Amino acid sequence: MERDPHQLIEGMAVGAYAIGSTEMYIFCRGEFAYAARQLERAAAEAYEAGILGKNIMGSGYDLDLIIHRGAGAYICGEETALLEAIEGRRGQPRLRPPFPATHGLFSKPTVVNNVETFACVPHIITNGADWFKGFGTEKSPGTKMFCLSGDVERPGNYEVPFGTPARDLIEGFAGGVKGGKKLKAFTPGGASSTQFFGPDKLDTNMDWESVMAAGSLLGTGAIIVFAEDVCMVRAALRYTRFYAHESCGKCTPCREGTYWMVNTLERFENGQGREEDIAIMNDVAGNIIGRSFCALGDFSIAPVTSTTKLFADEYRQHIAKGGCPFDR
Amino acid sequence: MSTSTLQETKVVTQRFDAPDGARLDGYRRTGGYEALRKALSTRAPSSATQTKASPARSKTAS
Amino acid sequence: MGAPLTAEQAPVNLTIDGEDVSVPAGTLIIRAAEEMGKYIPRFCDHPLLDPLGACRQCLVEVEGQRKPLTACTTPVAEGMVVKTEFTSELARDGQEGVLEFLLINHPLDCPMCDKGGECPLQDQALAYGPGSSRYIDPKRRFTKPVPISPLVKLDRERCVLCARCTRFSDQIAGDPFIELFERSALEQVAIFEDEPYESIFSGNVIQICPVGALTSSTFRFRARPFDMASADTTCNRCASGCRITVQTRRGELVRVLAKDDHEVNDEWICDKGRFAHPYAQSPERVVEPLVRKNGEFVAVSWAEAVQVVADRITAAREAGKGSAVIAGQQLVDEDAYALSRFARTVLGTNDVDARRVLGGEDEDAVLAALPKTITAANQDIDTAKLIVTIGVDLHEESPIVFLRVRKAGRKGVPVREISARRSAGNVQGARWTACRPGEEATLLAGVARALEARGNSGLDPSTRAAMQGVDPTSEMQELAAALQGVHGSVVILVGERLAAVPGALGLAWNITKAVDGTFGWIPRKAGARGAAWAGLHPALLPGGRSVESTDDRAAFGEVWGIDPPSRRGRDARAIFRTAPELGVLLLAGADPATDFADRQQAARGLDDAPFVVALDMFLTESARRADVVLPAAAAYERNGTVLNWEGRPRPVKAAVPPAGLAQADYEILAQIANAAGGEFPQTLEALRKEIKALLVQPAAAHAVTVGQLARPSADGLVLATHRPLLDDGTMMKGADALAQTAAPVVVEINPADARGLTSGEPVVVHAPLGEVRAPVLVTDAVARGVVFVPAHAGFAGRAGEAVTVEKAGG
Repeated sequence: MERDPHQLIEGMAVGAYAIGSTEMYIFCRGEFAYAARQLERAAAEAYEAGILGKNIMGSGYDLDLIIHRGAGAYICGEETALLEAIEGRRGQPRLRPPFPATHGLFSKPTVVNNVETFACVPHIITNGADWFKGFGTEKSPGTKMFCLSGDVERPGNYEVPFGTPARDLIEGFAGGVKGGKKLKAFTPGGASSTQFFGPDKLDTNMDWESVMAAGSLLGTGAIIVFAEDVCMVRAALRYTRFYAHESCGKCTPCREGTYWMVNTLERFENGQGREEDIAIMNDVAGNIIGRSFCALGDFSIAPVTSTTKLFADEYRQHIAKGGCPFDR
Repeated sequence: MSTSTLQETKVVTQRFDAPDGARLDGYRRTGGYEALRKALSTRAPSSATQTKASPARSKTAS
Repeated sequence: MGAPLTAEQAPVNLTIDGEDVSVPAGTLIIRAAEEMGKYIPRFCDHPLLDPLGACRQCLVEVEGQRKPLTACTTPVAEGMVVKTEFTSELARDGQEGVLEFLLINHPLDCPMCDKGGECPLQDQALAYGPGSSRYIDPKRRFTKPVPISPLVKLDRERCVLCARCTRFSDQIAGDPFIELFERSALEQVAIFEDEPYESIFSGNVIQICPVGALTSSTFRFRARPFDMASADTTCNRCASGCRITVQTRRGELVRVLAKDDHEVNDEWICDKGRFAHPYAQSPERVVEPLVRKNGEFVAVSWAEAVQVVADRITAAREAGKGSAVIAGQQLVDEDAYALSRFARTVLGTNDVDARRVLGGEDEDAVLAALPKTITAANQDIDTAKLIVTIGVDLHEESPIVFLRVRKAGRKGVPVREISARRSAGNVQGARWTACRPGEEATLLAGVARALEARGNSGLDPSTRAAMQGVDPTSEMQELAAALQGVHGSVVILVGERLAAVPGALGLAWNITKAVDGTFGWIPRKAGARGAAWAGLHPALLPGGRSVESTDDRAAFGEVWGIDPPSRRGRDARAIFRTAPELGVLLLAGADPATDFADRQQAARGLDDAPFVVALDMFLTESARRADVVLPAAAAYERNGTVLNWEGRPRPVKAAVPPAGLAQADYEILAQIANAAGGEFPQTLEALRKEIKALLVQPAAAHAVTVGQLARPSADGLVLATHRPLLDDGTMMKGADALAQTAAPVVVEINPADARGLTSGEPVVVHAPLGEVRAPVLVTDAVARGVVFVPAHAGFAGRAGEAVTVEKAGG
């Protein structure tokens, strides 16, 4: 959105034309002030040049673009909560069915996709589907922007074909763990990766099927790297606090369950964790997943379940030491 | 800071380093909006078929 | 037999816990389970609210689905195999999990929470919960309780965020003043900062809240459910006829709840019906018979009081002096009938009137027709394709009928309001046609004319005569087109007070007939339809029969033993004008010195009448002018029947014994009749037996005589007025919290007439019979050329009168 806003606009326009829609909306996070400005500017340019508006590019087709800025709720990334927000209501997900494809924005059939998806479209149209399928794997064709962050030398976005091994991204593009430290863990797909990966999974190919076979989800492709001296309990606490804060509050399991997990993790952080808390948290997680109204609940448990499974010893060290073993 | 020897495959990021990539003139100079022109000149169904043939998977977890 | 069922109608077969059940397509699993007597626990689900699926309590296992589903949002499918917690570990685990979650932040308030003992959270936690909680961390805290209105207190800690209250306000009442704010564990019910929770239906959220988050400020800490005795009866605060449950603790009325009745009030009542019960146990109740001796009221025995009255009646008869009866519109049917009979057989007069609006020929015709005609019912509102209201503000005057109309509006049924002042009730897509008071007859005549021009041949001669010379405006044309377009499924609801405009009622009736619609007569008072049916009218006998018909009089004579008098009696106005000549003037539940438009005339009449007997609960403006006051029982204190606006009989059942020595009106009349000589039915059974013998089966509508149309209103400003729901009536006594939710008195005027007045300024309204001072509100919810003053503002004014408005303090 910041560097190539027209690409997004063009991809959306093609999509809108394909389904016969004359209205497009970009829901841009409220915090992304620069991106929003870039988008507004690009939209103005496009209107000026007759690429948007009435009779676009002389085709007889009308097409409008509205850039809607959010007010800071992560839940508005959930497609029906996003639609609610655009309609002026609180960003809480809707009951499905009906699905947005039949009853979406203002009850009209609506297609909702992410920025990266639409950004691919102009290239596919120009170069053909076969060209796009030439990158990546059979089940995960094309390229992906992977976002490398955390304890790496060169954090940043790197676009590579699907199927690129995680090692290439972490040690190759991003220059390996910062300061030459050892890798403790990484997320294949951001905070909502259902399972964190250890160093043994560095050779996993980053495509949908391979990551799933290795026990996690590729998700957003946000690879966050944890060095050997990062406290995984603290990491879990930070992630879970995020989910608890962003939970929309509509459904009981996510609202109350994330609150519970945060409180328990805070006790561990303060040295008041108990052995039984590990099992209790996992049971709480089991009462959230598959029971909540939307996927936020499902993903909110991943940091807890993942770290208690892979790094249970760190939790126990918090109990034994009465605090974080990584604090000096 | 050393740089990697690996090369990115720049499809959606190909204009990111261009100084005018975010502007309309820079976008059009590098072939921008030709896809839209192509789509508009065909009947809508064929464009839909084109993108359908390449199942670009949803890029988020949900 | 009939047409084969469509796919939508065909029943769906599924199994729940191994048992087969068959339900209509579209049924939710949770409802299908209820059909088989199976209760799936729930909080956010409510059969009358749109499904939400938020609380997740109703999780069930459905074969073939990888996750448990919420039974309250999932419709049944053919061959579906559902397992509830009885047969599914997954469902049981899911439900236990949700209850454990709900309790982690729920305060342990049970010992001091009103809801204890009738609390779905308590009950379901016990039945479906884990038994003990593993949570040891602090709970979220909120300041509590927070009054969100004078009637409702909010405790956010107890709230389980089921959104029943917010959905009720938004979907059912159309008053979205209460909403969920914030996110995550801080999510809470709240009201907007400058907009308190002002809804006449606010009490319903207390009843549907599944925990003690919303409590009644007047009932708080008063009683536990198991401490109370309950009586199911019918509310009498308007003519909707809602079923209610009246609860008492040690003989004290403490609470009124809505009772389910899907044909009338669904599961709702308005705040007046819920909170305005304290009058019945007010210390101001008259509890003993009072007889004026030496100018002062003295308490006497029933025997003495009855004898005093009977002696005066006998004396009046012997002296050839006529007696008269002014009846109220709150009487229970059997009392109204007894009164009508009493007037004719004991007092020997047709000078009986229960009306407070004296209209023209068409008013008589409609009142005579009502008992004999099938009129609109709630089901007609449900199935109508067009609903029209004329001269009535449903939201103020019959709230539960308003809810019914709003429900239709939500489904997309067009609703048209014709009135001088747009109702504040929120009906989706409703259209308002502004009409100055007094001009309704002309408007309807124009509509009739336009109907005929569009080919309608169903208009009767009196309507056709009345509509001559009226040129339909484009508005009238449009209304006629709308009516003609839904021939056969339009409901026209007309206010009783439209009788003040001669011809309007009659035209509305006849137009309804001409378009094959159903006609609804909406009075404000609960006993108005019963009064019409009982013949509390100078020309009518019970059942809409006529005093001027030999056959009708004979039929009554057969049952009563005496023929009713044959001459048409005098109406209320004439009765007061000729008061000095009367023998006995009997008031039964009537307070003309307060209620009549010309209250000075009524008060003078009462002062001038030689002997006034008042049957009443309080020493009203009228009763305190009487010579004898006989204490009447309140509706909560006796049994009986009341006809609601549909003409549907609604049962009244005593919840408490009568206050002091009070008796039901029919009992009082029987005793007086006994003392005055002659046969009179003594019991409810005896009255009902007579009524049954005289019953008329309602049939399809016949046209009524329209008579003379009202003359057009004067140019300039005319007055529009009616009583709001929350007024200053005697039956609002003691309901202080409720009274605080009443709208303040303002004078409403259209911007086109405001001439420099700004909202909030004090103004004076001058009317022929008096004046009133109040702040002005400039609003386009009032027709041009109209000043609206609520009728409890303390002045005497009639709708349609010419008035002037000026700044006060000049």
